[in-house]
Amino acid sequence: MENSTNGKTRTDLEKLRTIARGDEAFMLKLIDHFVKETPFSIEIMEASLANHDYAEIGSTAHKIKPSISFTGIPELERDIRRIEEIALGGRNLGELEGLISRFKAGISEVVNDFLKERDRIENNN
Amino acid sequence: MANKQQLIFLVDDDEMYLDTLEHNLMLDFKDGVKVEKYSTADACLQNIHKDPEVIILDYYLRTDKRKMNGIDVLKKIKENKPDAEVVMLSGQEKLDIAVNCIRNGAYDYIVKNESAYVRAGNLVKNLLNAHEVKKESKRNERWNYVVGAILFVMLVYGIYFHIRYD
Repeated sequence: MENSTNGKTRTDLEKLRTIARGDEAFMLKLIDHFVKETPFSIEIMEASLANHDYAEIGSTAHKIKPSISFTGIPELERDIRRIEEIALGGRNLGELEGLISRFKAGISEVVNDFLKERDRIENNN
Repeated sequence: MANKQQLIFLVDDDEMYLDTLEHNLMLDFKDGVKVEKYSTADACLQNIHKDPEVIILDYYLRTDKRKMNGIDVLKKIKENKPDAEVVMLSGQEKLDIAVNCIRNGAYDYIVKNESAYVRAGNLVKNLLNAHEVKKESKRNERWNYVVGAILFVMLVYGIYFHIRYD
């Protein structure tokens, strides 16, 4: 994730490497899965928001919550927890749209960082 | 640890999490364990006859059509295989859920976070060792029973011959 002020990425690729225990083939598998499934889950949350299906939003947020920790970005972890909490709790529902939108933007940048890492690994091998 | 591969079931509908758990366990135990992955409670229960030593079970399975929660699945596992040790996994850091799982026979409760893989590996190691000790103790019990039975027969014969030929 590019930070506009210092040009550094916020995505902590070291975390992904630690979870994969240095196994680059497994890192590629995790990246492929994340890149495919997480944006799809966000689409489900957006569609569910349009249909006022808050249980589905909460359930989807709950499901992807563990894999968001792979990004190493605490703000995204906080956002997905908050989305789950609001959707399942039924209070402050008005916050959901902004939260999902911010989360989507963050994930989009993580996906870019993961894809760059994927290219780097493949070029090294 | 025994030479025979010990069987571990991983039950979670999150494919990424399942793969990561499996990857970590295979690195920790290499050929010492066989891991089978299931994305539904039904699939786990249908294969329970394979007699897994350890089951790592997600509390909240979205893929389960009957909408059983983790406690329902845990109870069914324990009904079928009381000796199987079950470690519950959950994205929820709720004490009441954790306590309820333990009350219903779970060995432990792990919150899905970045250290969950390490924790799961350590728990599986402890459980497999304990399982081996329990099996060894059962083997010893059987052996003690056989030796006891032989001694008893010898004693009965001894008394019989003593009475008959005295």
